[in-house]
Amino acid sequence: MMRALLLKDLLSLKNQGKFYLIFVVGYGLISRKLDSLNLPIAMMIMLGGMLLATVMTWEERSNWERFALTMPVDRRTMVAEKYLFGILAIFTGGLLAVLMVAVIGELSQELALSIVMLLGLGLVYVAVILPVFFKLGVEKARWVNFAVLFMPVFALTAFLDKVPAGSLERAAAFLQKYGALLGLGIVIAVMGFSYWLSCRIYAAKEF
Amino acid sequence: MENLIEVRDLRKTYPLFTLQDLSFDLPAGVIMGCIGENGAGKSTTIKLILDLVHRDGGTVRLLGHEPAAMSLPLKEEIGVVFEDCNIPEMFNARDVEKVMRAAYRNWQPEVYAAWLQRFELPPKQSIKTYSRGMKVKLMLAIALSHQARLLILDEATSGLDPVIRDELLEVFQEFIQDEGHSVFISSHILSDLEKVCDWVLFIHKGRLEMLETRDGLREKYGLWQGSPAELAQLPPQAVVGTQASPYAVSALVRRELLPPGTVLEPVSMEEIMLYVIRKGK
Repeated sequence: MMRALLLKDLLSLKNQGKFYLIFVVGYGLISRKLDSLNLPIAMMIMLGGMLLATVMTWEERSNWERFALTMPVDRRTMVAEKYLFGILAIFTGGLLAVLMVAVIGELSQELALSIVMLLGLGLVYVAVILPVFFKLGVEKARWVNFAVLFMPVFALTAFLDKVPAGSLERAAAFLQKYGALLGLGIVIAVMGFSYWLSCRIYAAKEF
Repeated sequence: MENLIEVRDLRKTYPLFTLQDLSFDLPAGVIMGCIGENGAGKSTTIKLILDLVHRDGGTVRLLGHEPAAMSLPLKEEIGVVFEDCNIPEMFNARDVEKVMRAAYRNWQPEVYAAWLQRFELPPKQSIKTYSRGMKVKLMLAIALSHQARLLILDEATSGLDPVIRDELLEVFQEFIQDEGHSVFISSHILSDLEKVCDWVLFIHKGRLEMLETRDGLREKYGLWQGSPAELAQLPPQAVVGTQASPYAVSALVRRELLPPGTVLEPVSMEEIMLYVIRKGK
């Protein structure tokens, strides 16, 4: 049944294909003029997050879940499929980012690290937003979605100059040493907790 | 005879509405119509049976099992059609088939194709461009293409023209030609239900008002007409509900409680419902 649900999500995006292609090519062209490719990479991965919100919007509009739950599927699988789709969507964004970087310039170690870090952030986004979507629905959670996407950027911009001198360097050194392991641990922990929470929310949900 | 649905003392409480003490069985080989005014609890009943909302009390057995604990293969034996089309609108009937083929082990492509043909549903046309009738037919085609034994329809025929409704009623009658099959259908269009239903479940303000066979309703109830003075002569327990005009009174009455020879007209399902609902007003 997981395959059927994934297939349904992919088919829901078939009409959006042109839009996403234009987005990717357009952003790729703009990125040629930029000094840093970090922003375009982030945009590609954010695109993955947008795919998740898009399929869930279509589901909400057609009351799909109510019907799907009368099919041979249980609530836990419904939740698990959205996590799987979210992860696949983020990795697709990551793949697009790699392709874009490879076409435009050179995939340096720095850019590769940037892609990996942003993939991690993308997965954290999926983990944070899915319980909210399950609880409130995509339409009602629009502003929460916006906040989850942009708050970290605003927070960093606002507080960066208030960080005590030297602490950023110390943090960077720490991250260089343990960052990958720590990041992976955080992503797994956040995903695990998020999935548990979503299953609880979905089990209590009425359609 | 096997019961495909068994409901006992079903209860669900919302802030402004309570469905309570609902008990009934749906035997195999039967079409049961669920009737009642808007907000009576018809859709709530269906959602409770399908475990789409959680009950506060009572028990439900769907194909002999607790709905929340049903095995997935058993769920294939249930086909459900809601009032709205639950397929994303950019899909066409072919996309639907791809998904359903992956979802149902018992999916029958040739049966689905036959239903599309019979319902004249263009397989490549986007569902967005379908009329309401076509959308309902598509949902019904899905429900009938995975060897379901039980069809549950929640207001699926509402808003359809009489020709399409008649076509669908014919499909339901064909479906129960197999004695192991049953249909549970809620609808506002009582004339339709009157044509096909073997049993009628009448819910009023969240309570079971009547559970009767179609023929039983006709035998049990009749329409009496006369003057207010004549009405006063009738045994009060025989009068279910009345409707007064300036010159006459009509009443829904229980035939067996009236003196022999009392002249009565046959009563329709719609009239029964209207009189019962008005009784409380």
